[in-house]
Amino acid sequence: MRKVKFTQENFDERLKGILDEFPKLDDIHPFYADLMNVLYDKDHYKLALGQMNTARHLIDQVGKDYVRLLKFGDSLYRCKQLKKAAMGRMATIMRRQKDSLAYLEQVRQHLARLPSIDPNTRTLLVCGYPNVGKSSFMNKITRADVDVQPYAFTTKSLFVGHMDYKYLRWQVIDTPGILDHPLEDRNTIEMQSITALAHLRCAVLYFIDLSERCGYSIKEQVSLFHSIKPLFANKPVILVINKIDAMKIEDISAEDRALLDQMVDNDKVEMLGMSCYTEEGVMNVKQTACDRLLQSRVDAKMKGHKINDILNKIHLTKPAARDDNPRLPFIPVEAENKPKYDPKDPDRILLERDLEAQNGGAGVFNVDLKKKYLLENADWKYDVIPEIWQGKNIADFIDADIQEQLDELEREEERLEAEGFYNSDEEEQDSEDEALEATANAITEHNKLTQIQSRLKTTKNKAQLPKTALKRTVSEMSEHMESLGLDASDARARSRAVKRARSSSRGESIARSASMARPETSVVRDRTMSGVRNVKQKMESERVRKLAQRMPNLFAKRGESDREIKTKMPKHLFSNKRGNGKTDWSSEPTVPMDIETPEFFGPKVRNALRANATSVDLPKLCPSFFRFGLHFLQL
Amino acid sequence: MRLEKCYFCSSTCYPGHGTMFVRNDSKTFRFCRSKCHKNFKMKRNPRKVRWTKAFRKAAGKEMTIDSTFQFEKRRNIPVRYDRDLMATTIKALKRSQEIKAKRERVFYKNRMSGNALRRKAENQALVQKHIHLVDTPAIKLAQTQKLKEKSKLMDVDMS
Amino acid sequence: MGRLRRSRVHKGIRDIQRKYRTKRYMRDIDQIHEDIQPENASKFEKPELDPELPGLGQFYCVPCAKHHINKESLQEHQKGKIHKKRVKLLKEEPYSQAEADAAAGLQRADTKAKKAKAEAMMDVTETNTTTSA
Repeated sequence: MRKVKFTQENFDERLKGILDEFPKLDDIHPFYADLMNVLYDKDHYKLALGQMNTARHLIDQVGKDYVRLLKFGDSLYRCKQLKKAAMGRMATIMRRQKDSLAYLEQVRQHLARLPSIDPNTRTLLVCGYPNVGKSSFMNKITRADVDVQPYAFTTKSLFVGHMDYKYLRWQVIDTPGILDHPLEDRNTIEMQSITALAHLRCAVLYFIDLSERCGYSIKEQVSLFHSIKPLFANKPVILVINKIDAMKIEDISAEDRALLDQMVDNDKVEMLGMSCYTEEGVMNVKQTACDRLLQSRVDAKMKGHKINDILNKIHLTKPAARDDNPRLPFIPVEAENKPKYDPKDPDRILLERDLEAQNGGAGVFNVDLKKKYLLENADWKYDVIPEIWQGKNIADFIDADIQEQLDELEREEERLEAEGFYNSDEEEQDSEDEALEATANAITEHNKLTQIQSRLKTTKNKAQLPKTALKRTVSEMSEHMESLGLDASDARARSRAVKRARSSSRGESIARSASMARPETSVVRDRTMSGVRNVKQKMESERVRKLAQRMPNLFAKRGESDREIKTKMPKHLFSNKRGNGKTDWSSEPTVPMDIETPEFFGPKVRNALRANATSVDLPKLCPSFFRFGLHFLQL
Repeated sequence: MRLEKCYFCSSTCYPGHGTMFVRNDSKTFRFCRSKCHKNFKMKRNPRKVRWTKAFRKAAGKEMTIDSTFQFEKRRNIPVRYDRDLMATTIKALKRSQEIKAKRERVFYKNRMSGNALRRKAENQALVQKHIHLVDTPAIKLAQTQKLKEKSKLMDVDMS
Repeated sequence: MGRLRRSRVHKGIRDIQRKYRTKRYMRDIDQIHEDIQPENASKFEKPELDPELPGLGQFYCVPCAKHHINKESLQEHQKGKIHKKRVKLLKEEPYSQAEADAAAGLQRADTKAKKAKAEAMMDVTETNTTTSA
């Protein structure tokens, strides 16, 4: 179940990642959306993403269903099959998505290689016919390194370069060349330029090659300008006449001139000439373009309502002068008269760096921190300051008026000595006291010894027997009584009477037992004496036994009486479940029990003994013995 | 470098020895050895633990009030180094510690002063109780006489 | 056969281990002593709801530094011996590093007295100057 769940979650996560990572066409900037439409075909792209989404839902559904089924799986095998089925179905769903996944992978790779164009920043857009020198211009003004070749369509996609102007970052987009034909007929390369033109808020630099070296006449170039003019709405447009080194503006024919003028008529369009080859006018073009774009952007912002918020925050103070007194910075006279530091001057002030160089350089030189100590006496600077004295911090004793305190203490000391504070009134012990102490010590020791002995006597480790169970002799008792000063004769007589009574009862029991046919077997043998001849031998055997046991006991080794595990690892407990192979390790050929029947019985008897009791008619075989047996049973 | 005092037993923690515990309210506790640290962790009160200096001071086993204590103090006032002042300080430090030790000895002697008499009385009581064990005749005689005197006194009191 | 273990060793004694560790450090007696001061009483008057504490942190016994699950439990606790013992314990001045230092013979300079002395000195000099003037 866990595996199914895990696989489902994994798939889900991955597909979701794909869906999230790919940009949604509706959400991104229209420039990018159009660009993607041009490059990858919007419908195809959306379809692929949609398929991913459905696959994800399907896998979720499959996972959920099978987890539910697995919960009710009655056997391990069924569960395994369900798991297999679930995995299989998920895999199939994914296999069906192969094509769209491959497509998406291609898109992803291509997207990663697209230049990062920020559609909202200051942008200069370079466009025009193929081979009019757009990329050369780009190379001149930005740090980008665009491929420039003397043939049409060198640039096949958008390129981005960055430059700095007025401390701002500008991006310059180089577009592929555009030919003059209807929108529908344009190819992918051209369409990229068109989308860029359409959607980016930028300054457009329209390039015209007057020398017609690009292979297109001025007329064609102008007509293209007019055809894409609608895209330039609300954008500052600059007409850049390129290659002026080859053909000056003044040199062109009248009709071309008229065409150009027609273009410039529009107030927004500005005409500038430049040459990428000689770098004449390149900077001029750049500056004009940037200024115009900046101006237009500022204008656009000023129109918006956000500007008020910013204007409110800005406040420029212009303090009025209090009076006409000049307030100059104060410079001390010493500072003014100080000679200027000059590293070549031999009499210069020595810096710490110079000291370092003189004293062995970095790593060898140690900075002298004590040099600038402010002490009363300069000689004290390098004193070794004591910190600790016999477990005391000397710093704790430092006080400005320590001398006074010390003097006061000395005075107090003198006074106390005079008063006899330190006089010892110690009394010498006299001999009598010493003797008394010695006796007392001896008594204490004696008492302690007796205590220990009495403790040893009390039997803490043995079972406490009742007094009646103790064995006592009559003589002991009488002795004890006499020691206590009592007359023991009565007690003695009583005990004798009891003894006599007991012995008579025993006589009776003996008589009764004698009447029995069987002899009484209640005689308890001393087992320790069995197997040995005499007491001496027994002692010897005992000694040997103890000796043999001594070392094992000393090292706490295992003895005979310890629990023992004969088979450490019984096969049936430690082998795993049996597999599909042989089963016979556990059922080894068992030998049925065989009763050894002596050879002298003869075959008939032996057969009868081996046979089942129910199938043999014993009385018939041996009637007399059978009867004998019956008699035995009755007993 | 400073020598700190152990929080628990008030002995000196030399640099590089012992442990410092920093509580979560950033209060620090220094311990001279693991014994003190463990006792602290058991939340014992050093005033109640008999082997600490705090106990001995609180229980009156050591000198607490004396003019020599005025010398060692955490003054928390930075002082610029002065060779003469340092010299006098060290002199004062040594002298004050000497006097302190002397007074402590006197204090101890005074504290123990009653012991000799008490011990003598105890010994006498013991010997009188176990007079049957004593075999030195001189002592036996003296003690029995004393006993008699005592009993006589008792009789007198009784009468 | 190796040697058999004779008896348990001290390593496994759980209570001692627990006693020594600072992982779940309870408030120390001097911290609690500060808590029970009247100027800190406002801190514990209206506790915030804390879902991680027993009883959402609403039934806190300040002297024992312990949270209870409900009002009854808190009241029952406050009737008990442990609480009363703690309250009695908190009546005495808590032990501090200053006391440890004092026991070792190192005292704290009473800066206030010192300042007062310095000021007095200043006054004397001032009066002297005025009189001389």
